[in-house]
Amino acid sequence: MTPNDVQQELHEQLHGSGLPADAVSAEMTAHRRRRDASIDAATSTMSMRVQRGINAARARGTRSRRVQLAMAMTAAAAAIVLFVSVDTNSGNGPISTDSTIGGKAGQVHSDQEVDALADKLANRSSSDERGWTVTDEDVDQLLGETGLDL
Amino acid sequence: MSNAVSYPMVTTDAVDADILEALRIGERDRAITVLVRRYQRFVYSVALRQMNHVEDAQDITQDVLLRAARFVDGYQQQSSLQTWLYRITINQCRSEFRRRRIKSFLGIGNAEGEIDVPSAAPLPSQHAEERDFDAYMQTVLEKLPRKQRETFCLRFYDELSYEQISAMTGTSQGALKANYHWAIKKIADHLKDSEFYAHWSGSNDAK
Repeated sequence: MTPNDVQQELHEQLHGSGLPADAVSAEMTAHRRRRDASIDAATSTMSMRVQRGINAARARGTRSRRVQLAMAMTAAAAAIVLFVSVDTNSGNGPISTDSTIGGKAGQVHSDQEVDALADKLANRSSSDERGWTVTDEDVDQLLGETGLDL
Repeated sequence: MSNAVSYPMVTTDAVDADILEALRIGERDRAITVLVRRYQRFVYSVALRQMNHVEDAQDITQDVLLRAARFVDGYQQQSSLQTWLYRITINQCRSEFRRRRIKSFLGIGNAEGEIDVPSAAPLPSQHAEERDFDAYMQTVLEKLPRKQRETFCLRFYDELSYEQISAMTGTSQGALKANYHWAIKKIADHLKDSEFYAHWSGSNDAK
């Protein structure tokens, strides 16, 4: 389908209408071109708008995962404190409360998975100027390496 | 005449084939970029007819393309990409109208101006006469029955074949041709009664 096909069809339909087909057809075609121009103007920034929308959606998704990772890291830290506490107290003192915290952490992810994440971040923090700040890249990299789907 | 529509085998042109191939090989971002560039004008054109408001149409277009980007992996190829986007656009516009009706019912926001009094969509023109004709055409189109108006717009403005329009609207090609014929006849009748007729009557091919 080409513009010429449509124009030709319009011209044929206008014949017998009592209107000057050539003039009206030309006017209608010019009208369509102006409309096309206005659509071009209205959609000139659409690609950017859509790209921004896609980026925003991705950022939301990543931020959400980052928050979940932070929660997992907190639980991991609690679990580490628990194990240290267990070792130093040899089963005496207020360990039962800590055990509860450790149990909850275990329900989020397995201890090994969380520990692996904690170890990776801890190792990086000791050799990286960025320290403990968790960035989107960190999350993607860590999740990519461990295969965890948060 | 039967209105039953037999959907044609979906044929894809080179650009659509490129989009689908990019999806197949995992180049999702490239597929979405090509899809947006190719169909943004069409989606906006459809949305503008439904919403009759430039900014609303832009917002709907953005929403439709974002939705398409999100769900393009699940595109089943049972219809063309254009038909798929057309249906998403129509549904998005209907959802927007529904949302506004609910807001109006609940008395939330400036619903009166959003629903029953859609803003006109003036087309920027260089000359007053052109602007007048464009505005007049808009007025005439609004007087056409919905099916005739949509058929005329998809055919004349969007330059689609009857086969494509049939797949999009679920109307037989025969019925579409009849709709188009009657739409042009009514437009011609309006034009004969308009101030523009005097201008054309001096042209060489005037009867």
